[in-house]
Amino acid sequence: MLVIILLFKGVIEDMAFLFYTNSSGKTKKQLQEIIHARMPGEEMEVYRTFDSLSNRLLRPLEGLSVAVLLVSSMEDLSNILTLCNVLWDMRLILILPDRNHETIMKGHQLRPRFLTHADCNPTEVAEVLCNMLKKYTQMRPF
Amino acid sequence: MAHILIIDDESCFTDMLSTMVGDMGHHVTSAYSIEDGMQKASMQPFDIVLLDVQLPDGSGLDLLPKIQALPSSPEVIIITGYGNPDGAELAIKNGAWDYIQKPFSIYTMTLLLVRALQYREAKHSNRMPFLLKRCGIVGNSNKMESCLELLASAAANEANVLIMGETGTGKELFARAIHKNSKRAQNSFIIVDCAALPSTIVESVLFGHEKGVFTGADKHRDGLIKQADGGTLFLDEVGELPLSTQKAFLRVLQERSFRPIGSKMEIKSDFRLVAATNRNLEDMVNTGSFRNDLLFRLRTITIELPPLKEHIEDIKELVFYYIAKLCGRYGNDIKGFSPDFLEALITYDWPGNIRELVHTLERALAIAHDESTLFPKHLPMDIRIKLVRANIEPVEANTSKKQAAGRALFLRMEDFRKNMDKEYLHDLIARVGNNIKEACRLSGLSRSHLYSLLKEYNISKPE
Repeated sequence: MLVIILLFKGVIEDMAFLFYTNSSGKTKKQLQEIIHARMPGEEMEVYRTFDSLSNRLLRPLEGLSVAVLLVSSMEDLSNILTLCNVLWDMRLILILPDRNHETIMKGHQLRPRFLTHADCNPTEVAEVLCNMLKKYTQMRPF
Repeated sequence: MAHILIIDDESCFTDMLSTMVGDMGHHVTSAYSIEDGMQKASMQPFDIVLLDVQLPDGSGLDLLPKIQALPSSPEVIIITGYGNPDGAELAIKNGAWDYIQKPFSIYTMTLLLVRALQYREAKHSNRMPFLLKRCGIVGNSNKMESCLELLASAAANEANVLIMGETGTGKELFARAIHKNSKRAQNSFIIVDCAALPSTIVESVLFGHEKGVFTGADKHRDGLIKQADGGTLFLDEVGELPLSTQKAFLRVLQERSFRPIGSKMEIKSDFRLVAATNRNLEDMVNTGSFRNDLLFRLRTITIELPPLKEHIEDIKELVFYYIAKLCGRYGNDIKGFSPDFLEALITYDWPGNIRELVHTLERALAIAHDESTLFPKHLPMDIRIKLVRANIEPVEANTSKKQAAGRALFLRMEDFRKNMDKEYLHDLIARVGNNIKEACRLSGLSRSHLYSLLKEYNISKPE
């Protein structure tokens, strides 16, 4: 098991991603724990308020190409949608607060590469995140 | 009803042709010379011009480009009583629709006219809408124009589209532009990142599942195919779909309905499919890793995006566009760039295509910081090194004597490093003058380390 983790770490050790959550629910905690467990070498930039996320995106991304957005409410989603023009080169994993059709359709306006819900299995999100980080790092020939 | 202009100096032939074309339900105008024909052609739009070669005031072939330059850009059918293969070739090369020799049967001429009119109709219906939403697609090179024409054509109908191209060529942008220019634009554009989805969940994500159908299925899930109802489903990296999922998805494409995992109910979804890949799907079919029948379904329309090095003439426009976009993101004034900066970008071969260009510009803007103009020195080091190497390699290859001499003088690494350090420190001091604080900031060295290096290399300290 140890060997597997180390190999895994070797693949992704120089990758970074952005994690936004202003929710205080259990999903946030579970997700962070599982990401830490699955990717012990990752660089996770965490933003807990919309303003801090917004300010970060106005600075050079410096290699950040994947973001996990754990949306707390419809209002939060509407706020994030205002950042569309600065999220154009980010690959998003979007975690929505509910399963309402309106919320889902609004979520798709952000063009997420993976969309799921707050009551999802966090392992699933972590696996998708791993794949995305591996893929987008391998794809960069520079 | 089409408008047809006949330019021929034989009045009996013109009358016969006018009657025939009139009987087909078209409006006919006749002219008997180049001057007469040009005057009439410029007074009203025509769909087809039947043009004789031998006219009293010159050759009809000379008139061909002028007719084609008219706003209505009519199709031209050349008619002649003298068989002339060279003239026929010239006419076709100059864009004539066809070349026909007298005498000809009414059937032949009717068929020719019908085909020319059908072609014209198709050409107009496929023509790129005047206000094609480009959705961030930049470039007007011939290659990009061809891709945009295909995009417009794809947006105008409902056929499945396969977008092929290397990583970073803009496949997702094209997919989105197809959606945004289609009649489904008001509905959802759903992305399926086939490479990111673990094989264990890909079918659940696509088709959805019922609660409790497998371990971990704590809640009911709507699949992306259902969410794409009325809109566009974009399968990115479609070559990564597992074979079992390919089979299931093929059935969805055929029937436009599917059954979520664990459900007994068929669900219909009216989605339009756009797929993309950077892999050679035909090779994958040959090796058995991709289904031939699915590939056949996917590529009703195929758009092949060129690598950036094949449309390098677009690079200037791309640089303008992305510098403005990046400066806008950071709230900075838009920076300019020097001609040699652009020249360096043109010289580089961009293996990562447009995505690499954008990252490079982002890094150059960060390096330039508050300087208002980008120069080659602002390019990332790895690119500058590649450019320099590309410039000097051919010289090295042809100078074996020089190489031999070079080997004789080859420095030890330690000495080479010392030389480089000394050169760097000279440049640093020349740049900052007396400002030691700025020297520390630029070099990233502590004040004490910087002083010790200056002492070691016998370089005068700033006051």
